Amino acid sequence: MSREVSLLSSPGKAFRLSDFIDPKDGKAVILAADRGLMLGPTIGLADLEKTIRIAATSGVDAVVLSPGKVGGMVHYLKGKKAPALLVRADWTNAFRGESFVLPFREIRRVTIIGAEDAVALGASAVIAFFCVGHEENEARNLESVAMLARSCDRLGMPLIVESVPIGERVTATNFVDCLGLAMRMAVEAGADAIAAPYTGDVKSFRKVIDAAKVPVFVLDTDVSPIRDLLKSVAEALEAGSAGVVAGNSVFQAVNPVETLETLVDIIHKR
Amino acid sequence: MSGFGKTLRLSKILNPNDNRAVVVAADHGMMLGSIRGVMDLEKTVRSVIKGGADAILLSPGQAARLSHLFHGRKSALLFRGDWTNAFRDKTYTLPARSIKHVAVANAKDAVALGASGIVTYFFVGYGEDEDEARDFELVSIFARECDKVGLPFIVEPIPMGERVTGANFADLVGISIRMMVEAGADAIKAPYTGDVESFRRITKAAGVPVLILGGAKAKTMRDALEVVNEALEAGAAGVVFGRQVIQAPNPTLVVKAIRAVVHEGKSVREVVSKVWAGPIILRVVEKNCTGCRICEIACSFSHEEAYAPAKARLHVDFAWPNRYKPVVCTLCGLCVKACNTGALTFHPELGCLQLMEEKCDMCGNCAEACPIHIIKFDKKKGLPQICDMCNGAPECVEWCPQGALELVEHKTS
Repeated sequence: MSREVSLLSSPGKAFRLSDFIDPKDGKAVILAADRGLMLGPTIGLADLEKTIRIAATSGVDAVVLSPGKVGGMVHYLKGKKAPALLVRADWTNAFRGESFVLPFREIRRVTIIGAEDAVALGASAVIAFFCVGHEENEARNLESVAMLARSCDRLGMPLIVESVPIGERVTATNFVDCLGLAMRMAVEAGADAIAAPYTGDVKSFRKVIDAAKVPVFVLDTDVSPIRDLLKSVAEALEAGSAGVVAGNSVFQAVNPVETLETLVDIIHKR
Repeated sequence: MSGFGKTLRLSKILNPNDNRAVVVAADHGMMLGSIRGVMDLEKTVRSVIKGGADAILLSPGQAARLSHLFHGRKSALLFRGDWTNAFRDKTYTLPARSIKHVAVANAKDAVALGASGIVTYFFVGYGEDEDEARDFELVSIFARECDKVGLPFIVEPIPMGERVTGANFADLVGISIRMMVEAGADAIKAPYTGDVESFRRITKAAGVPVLILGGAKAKTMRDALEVVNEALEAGAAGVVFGRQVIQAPNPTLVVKAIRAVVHEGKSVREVVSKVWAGPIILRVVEKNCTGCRICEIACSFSHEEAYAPAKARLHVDFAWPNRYKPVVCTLCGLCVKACNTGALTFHPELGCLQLMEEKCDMCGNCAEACPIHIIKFDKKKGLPQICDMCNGAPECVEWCPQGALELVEHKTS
């Protein structure tokens, strides 16, 4: 059983979290379908409707959508059995690496909706980035996340923070420490749950999870083949993770439907 | 970007497969005090959630206290947004002298708690025109706030007061529903008008889901469910049941029965006996009996398809000078004991008598053994006529106009 969120002060947050974190096992499978906002029409997201239709029948607990796409997809999210809606609250250029058209020269991040908008959309949580390793914007990033956390507190809207070490100061040696730092800062600022990239081994990931004291989902960082993702997920669960936020690895798999169903099986032990 | 919150939240109340809802109201405490059924509200709510209610209506204080029971996509939580003294009639402590209606919460409170909708009344027809205008204003404020935060707004228009009559009631229901929809209601809670035609006109004109009130007025579960069936036929989108559910001996089973009618297309006959968790028995309220004998007629019609009170499985005795007393099967079991072939037994779940005709050798022991002359012999068929409590929905109870007959749990301790 993963971390229990102590939310006596926010019954609304506890209620909304239970829309996608199954109270029976404390775990969730979340499909990130919001990368089009940052990377354009990539594989699996060019035809977003097809992806959401697949997700709706595969048993995933939630999908992440950008605000502008909620209206078009709302049809698949209706009813008690459909995936919960998580809304992307911010934009970044951080994933536009060298092979991308117009790669980033400096990492930037901006907030695009507030907690009130997420409430009006019927979301069960908002999700935002917090990136460390690129000094000039770290402060502004934390400020935005904290302000978002304050309005989320007022409205009973859970905040999930994707804490990602990225930038020129992050190395293979300091990656785990950077991750630990980013997660702890996000939680202290008000995150109710974290999505974090896998550290590579159970022991170090467990240390990071233990320090968080909120549910930690392992993050599919869009660069690994699905075989690696499945292995990371299994190890992350062993380390105490609450589930997965899966993205491009699923879309690039030979059989995305089967991949999603496999993830659901692994995580909820069905 | 706005508006999708309402769509998503409404879909947690009304099942997208059939656009219907079974809602249970448990908010009575705020307006009527600790009535039966809300004393141990947590136990009641757990029981209703177990039955699979689509949504449960609670007052703000209780919603905050009990929201943890709703975690994990079970029933949706509805918030009562207003208070009134309008239902405190003469039978209550401090009955209302003039009707008052105030807000107790706003849409932001409801949405912060994770509620899927907010519910208020709209009173029409009472007091001065000023009262109705102020009520309209109250409702409009809720409607605008709900629009802002994407929360469904459910309104129950109530025609109430001296100007409301039997003649204008249906019209007033129709008019006030349309007014509320135009003001911004996303769904309506309304009394069934009593006939399919007038109600169909109302649901068509409304254009939003209309849930009917499950009537504390219905005497029996079968009554209540038959009204539901008829209203569904007339275009209703479902029901809101209050006391019929929360005051039942087993709310879980009652909710399941209502769901079977609303969502699974089951007939009332199929489900009405399933609201009982255990054995049942008829109970006589002697002081209510007026000797009309409609019970005997109903029984004979139901079993013999004939006007034949002599063949009824109960009888009304007269005790001079003016007392009438219905005599019903008491499940004493003497007839079962007297049966040599095992044709006469007790129903394994409901506990009422049942007769296996193939095994009966028509010896007549059962009729002789019955101390109150309930069992009679059909000379034509040659079979004993026993009270089988109509398999859980006794006709005598349904038809008694005075409430002299009831069906209750049979506590055999």
